[in-house]
Amino acid sequence: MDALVITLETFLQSVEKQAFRMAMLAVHKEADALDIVQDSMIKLATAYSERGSSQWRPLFFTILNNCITDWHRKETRWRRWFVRDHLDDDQDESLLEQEDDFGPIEQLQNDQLSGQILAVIESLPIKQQQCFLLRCWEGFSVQETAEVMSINTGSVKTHYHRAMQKIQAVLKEGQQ
Amino acid sequence: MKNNDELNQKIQKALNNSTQDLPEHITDGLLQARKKALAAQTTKQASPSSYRAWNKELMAIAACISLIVPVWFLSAPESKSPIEVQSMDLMVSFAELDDEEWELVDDLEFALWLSEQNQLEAET
Repeated sequence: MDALVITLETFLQSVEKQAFRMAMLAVHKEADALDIVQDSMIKLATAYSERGSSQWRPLFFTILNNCITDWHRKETRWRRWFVRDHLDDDQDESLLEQEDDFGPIEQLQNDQLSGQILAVIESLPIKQQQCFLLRCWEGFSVQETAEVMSINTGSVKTHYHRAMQKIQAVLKEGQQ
Repeated sequence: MKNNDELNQKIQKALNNSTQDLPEHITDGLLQARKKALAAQTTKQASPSSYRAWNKELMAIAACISLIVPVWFLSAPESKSPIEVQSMDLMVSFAELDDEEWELVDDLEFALWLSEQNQLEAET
């Protein structure tokens, strides 16, 4: 049992910073990002710790992805109820459904490449962002990403392609 | 293709760099989150086993009761001593005697007394 605990602890330690960064890019609030990471860890530890350690990684990122999606749903619901008056009709749409509302790059104050890349990723719609991070950063295959996000492989390819196009466009603008 | 690979590398580098120097309160928060997850796992693993142990005890008690009760019921009639059973049979048989049979019993008793007396005389 001690060996199991140590292994799980090692695994959690190995993914916690990436998980926090992914959550932070998605929700933009430190406290909420920490809560999401903690919930994901607890869910993995209580529900799936008895499974083989090779399954932990996709399971953990599936849970993390679901927690982020839940957070956005709650946030959207809250906005609909309490901030309706301050939103335009166009803005009053679920953040989850938005596809092409690429944020203005002019807001970027950091000229460094890393800062630009992070800012672009941060501005991506949540599904594109999750898909892109899972594929590009976590190294999941198209099939694995589809399973983690509970979407089909075609959607994964589309989200990833659009995200890449936007990042490339921003980097080109930065170079000019 | 090569451009895409270069871009991927740049993005990965940027993302990795962003996790390197997280503020202390964030790393503390992540440490606490990890501890809570491991504690929740330990609690979850402990609770089913204690439940199972409690179940075993209940099953053992139920098995004991199911054995003891029938045995007690079956053994209850055997608790009477043979003397009690004989005297009970005798009482039943006496209750069924009519007057003539009572006379015979009296005669038998007299005969028995006589024989006892004869034996005593012979011994002396």
